[in-house]
Amino acid sequence: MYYVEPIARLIRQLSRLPGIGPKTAQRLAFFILKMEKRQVIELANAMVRAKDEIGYCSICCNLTDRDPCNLCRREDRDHSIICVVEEPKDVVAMEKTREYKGTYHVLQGAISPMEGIGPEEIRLKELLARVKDGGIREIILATNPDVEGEATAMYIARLMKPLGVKVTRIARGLPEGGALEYVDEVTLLKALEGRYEI
Amino acid sequence: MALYRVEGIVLKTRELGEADKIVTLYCRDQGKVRAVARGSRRPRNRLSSGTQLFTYGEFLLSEGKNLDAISQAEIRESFRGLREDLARMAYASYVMELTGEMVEAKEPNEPLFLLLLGVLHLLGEDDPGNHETIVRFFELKLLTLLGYRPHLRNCVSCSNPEVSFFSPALGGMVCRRCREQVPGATEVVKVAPGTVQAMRKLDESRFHGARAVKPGATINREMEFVTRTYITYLLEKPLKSWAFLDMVRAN
Repeated sequence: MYYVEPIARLIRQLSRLPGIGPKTAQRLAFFILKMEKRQVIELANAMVRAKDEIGYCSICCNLTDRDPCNLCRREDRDHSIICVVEEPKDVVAMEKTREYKGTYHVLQGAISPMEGIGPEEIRLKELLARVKDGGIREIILATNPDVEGEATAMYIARLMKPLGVKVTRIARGLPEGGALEYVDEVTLLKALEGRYEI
Repeated sequence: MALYRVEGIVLKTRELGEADKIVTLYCRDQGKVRAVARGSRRPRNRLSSGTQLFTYGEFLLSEGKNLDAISQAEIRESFRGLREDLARMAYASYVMELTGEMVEAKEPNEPLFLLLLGVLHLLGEDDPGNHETIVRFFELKLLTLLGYRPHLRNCVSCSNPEVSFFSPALGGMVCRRCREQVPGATEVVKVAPGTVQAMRKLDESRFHGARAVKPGATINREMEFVTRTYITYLLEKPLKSWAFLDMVRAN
């Protein structure tokens, strides 16, 4: 190493972050050294605090700083509907519709046989417990429309069927504002299957 | 940058960065090729549906410094039947993982490509009752095409026709005596006569004849145990999709 130990250590730590190579890590390290001490402390504290204060909501398994999370506490939401998503980011995407008034369940992943991720590795037990506790009318499966998401949805549907809960899957088909001729045949087929009378 | 066209099957996909995927293709003329599909995790991307697992299609690749990039994907067969049923998906995932792990990069093997394509068709359309046999057939033929054909007729070591053990290290059946005497033959799997029979039949079958071999559930299990032991020995690790397959079958 050409750098003195404290700088080298900082570079090493930074290059652990995704998308940060050795060169970027060096640049960031020197930037940090030039920052005001107050800012550096704020940055370091922000990281430690986020790690300390964020945990999983005991109801929906989303990331939260208080348990149960804000969404699960809200009384204006319909607690008898659960929308099942893979990641916390998906909750945000769903919330942007401003139409959905139910609650969520975040699986923190999807079943992927080839990666060795089975039902035990995602937050499924929690969902099952929630449904068994009763008071759930509908489960909306909003996992990704890819092989893993589809497998996860099928697995959950199979798990929920004996419990007598209504299980639905979000629709797939044409994106808003697109041209039909550029849509691939798989998507088009899905759109055709999900057609409705107007 | 040079462009080239391949005909291939999507063996594996892995997320890369924010919206990209690394796709492993098994191609008719090029063998196993890895390429990046930029933007393919965005819903309206042209590549998103053509680069899904199990898809068979034509891909236009552009040469890159490290990884080649997929610039166009045209689906020939999406094998959606494999994605819409948990058991079919589990079997197909295993077939993909096995192929991906067993072959070396850029080693073309057209018969293997055609075998893979045929097996995906069968897993997607055929009666679920035949899945086990189809997969057993696939395992044996894949091993054969890659030079690991298990020796089933008689003892690998002394040609004795009375065999009752499979030795992964020797790549075939061994008799009772050689099991004790030949070095490397100690780690063996005991195999019932009916199972050896069924394996021989599958080994000698051609593609469409395989379904006529109808081993019972017990024999199928034992054949599976033999091939799993052999594959684990060859790869020096078990395959990840086995756990899921076992779970799906169990309930």
